[in-house]
Amino acid sequence: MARRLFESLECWPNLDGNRPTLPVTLSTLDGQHVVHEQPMPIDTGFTGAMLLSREAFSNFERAELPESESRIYRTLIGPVPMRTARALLKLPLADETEILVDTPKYGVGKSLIGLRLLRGIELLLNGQRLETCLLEERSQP
Amino acid sequence: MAGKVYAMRVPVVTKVILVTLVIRGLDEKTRRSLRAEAIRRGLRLAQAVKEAFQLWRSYDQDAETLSERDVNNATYNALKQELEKYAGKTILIAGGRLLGTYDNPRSAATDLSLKAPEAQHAIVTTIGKDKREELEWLGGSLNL
Repeated sequence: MARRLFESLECWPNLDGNRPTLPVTLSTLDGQHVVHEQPMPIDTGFTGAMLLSREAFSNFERAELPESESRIYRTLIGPVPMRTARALLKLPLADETEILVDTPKYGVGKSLIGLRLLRGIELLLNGQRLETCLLEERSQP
Repeated sequence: MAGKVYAMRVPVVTKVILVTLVIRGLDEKTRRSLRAEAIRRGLRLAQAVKEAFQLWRSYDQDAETLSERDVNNATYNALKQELEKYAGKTILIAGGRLLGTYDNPRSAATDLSLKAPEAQHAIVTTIGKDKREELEWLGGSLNL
């Protein structure tokens, strides 16, 4: 297998020293910033794009999916029904994209970045330096 | 007559509206099961549905009254079959009404600001594209 080289473009320290994070900007579909470059923890066990606290989710209720189309997550303690809404996401060094954000139908929830959001970006979880870096592949010299 | 108070009998008219509800798409098994359960409890079907609904609502702490969200979802469910003709289009429901169909969700959001700026809740969904997904949430941050 050919060796591949990556360059780190920008890095952010882990939250509380152990939670990998990325700063995200979230806006409503009509362009109002709700969250601006806020570090959010990454949870690779969550396969959706983003989970939000109930409070943060309330800003996106003007573009919610019907309840019958909102997501359900399979967990060790059984299915967790969600409320799902549309939002605009901006990651560092990337263009703004439309995503679906979730919050648990019951409970207060929490804010985190899920696996689906990591598609399409190259990321380094650096355990030695306790930081998370965005990478770019370099052409071979 | 001055200084005297006379009690008058005020006729009370109670208006009772009986509504017949037709549930389309309810499968035979559920219908039979609902009917059997109502008979077992000595209830009429309407009473059984009412009790079941109240029980269902009691689990949802945010739903003490009918919210904008409930009304919009009820509208979506009522229109669901009719909306299939807009496959690929984005629809917007707010205030319990279908406000329009659009090429994309952002256009719907822009129109919402014009047509119902006061709405706290709206449904924006792309017909035939947005479907319920079942995803996974492994351990990690799973304390709600």
